[in-house]
Amino acid sequence: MSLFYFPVLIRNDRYFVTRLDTDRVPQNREEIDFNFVIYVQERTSTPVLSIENCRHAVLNQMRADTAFQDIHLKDCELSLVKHGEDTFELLIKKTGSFICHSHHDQESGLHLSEHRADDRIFLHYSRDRVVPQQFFLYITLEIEGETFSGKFQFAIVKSKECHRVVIDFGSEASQIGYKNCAVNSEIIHYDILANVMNSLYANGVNSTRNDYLNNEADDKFLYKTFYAIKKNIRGDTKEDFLFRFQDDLATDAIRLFVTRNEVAAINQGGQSFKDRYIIIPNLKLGIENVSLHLSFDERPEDYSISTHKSELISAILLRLLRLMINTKSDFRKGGIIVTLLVPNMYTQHEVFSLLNELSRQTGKMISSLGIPEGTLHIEYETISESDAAFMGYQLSHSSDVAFNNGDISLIIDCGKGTTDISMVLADGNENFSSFFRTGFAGAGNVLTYAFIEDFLTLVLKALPGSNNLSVSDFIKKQLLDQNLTRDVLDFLQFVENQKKTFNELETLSLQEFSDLKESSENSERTIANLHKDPSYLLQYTADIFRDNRSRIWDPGITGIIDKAITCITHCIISSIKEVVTEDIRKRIKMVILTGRAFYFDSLRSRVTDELKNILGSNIRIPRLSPHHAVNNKSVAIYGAFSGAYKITDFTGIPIDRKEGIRKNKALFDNNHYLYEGIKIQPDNDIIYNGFVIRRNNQSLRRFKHNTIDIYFTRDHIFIRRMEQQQVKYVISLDSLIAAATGTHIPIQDLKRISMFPGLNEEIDTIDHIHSRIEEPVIHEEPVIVPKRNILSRLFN
Amino acid sequence: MKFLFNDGSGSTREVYSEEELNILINNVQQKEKIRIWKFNTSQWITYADYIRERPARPERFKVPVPDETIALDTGHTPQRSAPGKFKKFLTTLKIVIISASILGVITLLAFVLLKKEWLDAAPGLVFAERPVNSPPLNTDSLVTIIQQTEFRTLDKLTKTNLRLRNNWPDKIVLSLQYEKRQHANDATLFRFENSAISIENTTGYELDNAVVELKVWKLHQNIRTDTFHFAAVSYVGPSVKYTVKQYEGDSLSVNFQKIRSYGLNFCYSYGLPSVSGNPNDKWFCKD
Repeated sequence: MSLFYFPVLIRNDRYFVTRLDTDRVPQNREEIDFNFVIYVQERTSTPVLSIENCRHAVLNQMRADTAFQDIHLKDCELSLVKHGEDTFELLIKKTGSFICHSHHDQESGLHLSEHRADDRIFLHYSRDRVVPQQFFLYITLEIEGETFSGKFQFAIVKSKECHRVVIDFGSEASQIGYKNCAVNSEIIHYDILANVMNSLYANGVNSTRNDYLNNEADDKFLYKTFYAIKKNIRGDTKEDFLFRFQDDLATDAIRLFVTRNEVAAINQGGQSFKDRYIIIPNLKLGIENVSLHLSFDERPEDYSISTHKSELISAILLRLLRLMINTKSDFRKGGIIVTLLVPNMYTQHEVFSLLNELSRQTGKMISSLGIPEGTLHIEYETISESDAAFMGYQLSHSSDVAFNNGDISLIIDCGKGTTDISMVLADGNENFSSFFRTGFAGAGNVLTYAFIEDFLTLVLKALPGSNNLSVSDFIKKQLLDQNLTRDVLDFLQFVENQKKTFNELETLSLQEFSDLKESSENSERTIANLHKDPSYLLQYTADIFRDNRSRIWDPGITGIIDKAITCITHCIISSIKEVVTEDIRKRIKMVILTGRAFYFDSLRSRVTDELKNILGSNIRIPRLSPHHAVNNKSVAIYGAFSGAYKITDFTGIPIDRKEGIRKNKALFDNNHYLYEGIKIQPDNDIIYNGFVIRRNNQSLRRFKHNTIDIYFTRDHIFIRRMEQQQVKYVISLDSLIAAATGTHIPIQDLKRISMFPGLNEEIDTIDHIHSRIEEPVIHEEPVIVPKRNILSRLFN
Repeated sequence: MKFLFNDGSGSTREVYSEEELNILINNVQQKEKIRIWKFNTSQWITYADYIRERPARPERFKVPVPDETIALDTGHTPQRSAPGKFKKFLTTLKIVIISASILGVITLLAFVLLKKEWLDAAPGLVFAERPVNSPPLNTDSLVTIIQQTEFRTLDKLTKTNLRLRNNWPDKIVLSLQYEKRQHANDATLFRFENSAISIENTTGYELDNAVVELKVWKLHQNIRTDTFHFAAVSYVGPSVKYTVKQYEGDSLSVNFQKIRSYGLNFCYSYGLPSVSGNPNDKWFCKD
């Protein structure tokens, strides 16, 4: 059975590859593939959907050995057919010649027309008065009487009743920005915690920001991602409990907030908070092998986070969105286009399953607010965090950024939990598309962990003068197993302060450090005594440093902080080393370092030095000021609102390892590669993000010595081989990645550390990870036995 | 290379060179009690481990590997050994050659050590040079510029503090006193002992922290830098830090790396052109 994929441009900012499946199976045709929101102004023509490069556009066949092959649009007639009051069909019929039949539907305001000068076909909306409405559109391909189609839902809303919302669902801190779609409106930050507090206040809870673990002291718009899930679910099923939305945030199955008192208290009416809830550790990281032990109506169940990743993330995102809609009356009707900033670790499959889950559950969320059906429409799209960071930089420093066709910018976004690395490619019109994405869990948290390990190594080993106490055991017992008690939180806060002010601190000698104590005269709590009673170590440390904020121990004694920097730098550089081919190296014109971890100067300068080694000493690496409105953390939020980025939801583009991108001109031509595909020259390896797919890969044996064609579809990237104009072989790139090289041990190690303190398992030490990185790579060489001469005989 | 040293008695001290460490080790009778912490590592090691981990000797001095090991590694059959008498002769010859080499090295070392002599001590004193990022300024014209550009009249205290901050090297004087001994055979080599670093603070404000670098120079090369931390440097009298360390080189110098005075709103940093970013008051800072 044939299966066609056909890219279209939604509005003028989102590429979407439609899937046209056979209509022979009845349910195929009626299944809604995706929904979109089109915001329009009165008396202006607004594009709903367009087809670009009509003379070259192709409907790509992605099944081998079928009756039909690729269909060129130039051999088809296009027309818009009205099937009912709210149903239309964009019919693409293969006739052998290209004709676009213009159509004007006065009633709905939809028009189909061809713009010969631009080589485009537009379906656009134009009316004197905007009438909000919803309609369905089939895109149908008809060949020799057989039809293949996809069904889409569109909502037309007034610009001033539509909002763009950007959710940066950070692994450590989330933030939300929004903007009305009417012209000249500003980007506004949404204060999540203040709105959570207001909502709780309505239910009689009076509190301050500092009462919440979610409070980020430095920036009120950042919301620390501490969520909790109820352990005992009553009267609900495993499938539905996440999406049972309610107004009372305090009794919800998924709690958006956690208070300090709750985690500190041992007992609250017989059961402590920890007996009733599980605090979800860095959910976004998608921790493997971790299950939540829940019970449904007293039946215990292991609820795997990795299996239910998209459901859990959707549940939280929808709650954040619900909070927003609930607290802002103008959000209750019209449209919302939600842009999710996703980390680069997400695979293409994960991105689409998240989008699908969100779309599937949105109806429940809207109806839980009592909003009538058809009043509010929500569309979801994704953009890489680091791509958004680039766009934010480009937006705020437009005079600095000038790109030619084919120039590349490398962005390294090193946040608290994850490091995202992107390359964006500029086309001739300074539109940018996502070209390379990779990332790993490991950034600011690794530095935090290094500070802890460093401090504890001095306190537990160096000062007592023996190796008897184990730092790993202490961390496991006194930090990880305690599960965020007040002492643990105060200690973590002390470490964060030391990290933030590291450059300004006075370095103490070992003797001075050991004598450090509280300022009260009669206190005997000194650093030197801390090891004597480990159960009070965290509390006393926080107390002592409260009076000695400007001081730090000598980090050179263990060198652990420096080693952590080496580990992170190593992972960053090894992530991009393969893709920086000669061609790509020449094209990279600028590197942008964003993310809060780069406020740590030593990390920034080490990464800068290493990048200059790879890209040349003249490479531009500007920096963002922490005091600027667009700083290392907020830059991505601003970037996601930029109009110069065409959203594709793709998570990277495979490239030729030897040739780079120089033989794929379609990449520089307004996303034309979506129609033409990418070509990999015979015998050359493929690089896809962090992976190298070698030509001697068993799955590629049928492509040996042939050019490989790579095509992008909605949910997969396919590799295709043609023989005599016929599709002979198609495989998914995902199946090749499974066997490809790329993931290496240090990145896995950093991932575990990144989950600190939310991981109740023993974590490897920085020292150990560093020693593995520093180990020279041993190349197997043939053993050569030297000939024994007279001298060697003499000494043997 | 820096170390922590614990002789087994429980007290730990920082050691700034391998030579110093060796002296401390030699003073301990029960070597098995010694614990050494190499900087940039995360654990104590015993004296035996320390000796084992010291940099390997040149290849030619390595103890040769027995025949059997090579055979095991390569899978080759071991070669037939020489007949008994010849083998015994070779072993004796080997012992003689190695013993002679060791004796030669010991004699050479003893000769070098015995020859090294230091002459009588003489007192020395150096003052910190004025840093390039703090040149002398005419503070009166500075005050005029600020008043004109900012359209305001500066009060007396602000003017005084401005003068102090911008001409701080006149008011915070750093000096180093020492005893130096010349080498008997090398007129350019000195040993510096009993050093004392002194800060004379006449600003009228207490200096909360000051970080001082002591640099050892040999043939215009900085061969070693030690850092000293001063806290609460009073304006009543000089603050002095003594060091028992010995330095070898042709000269010593001192400079401030950082100074912080909360009362004066003053932050000086040796490596920076300015802390405040304001060219008219480069070292102003406020918490």
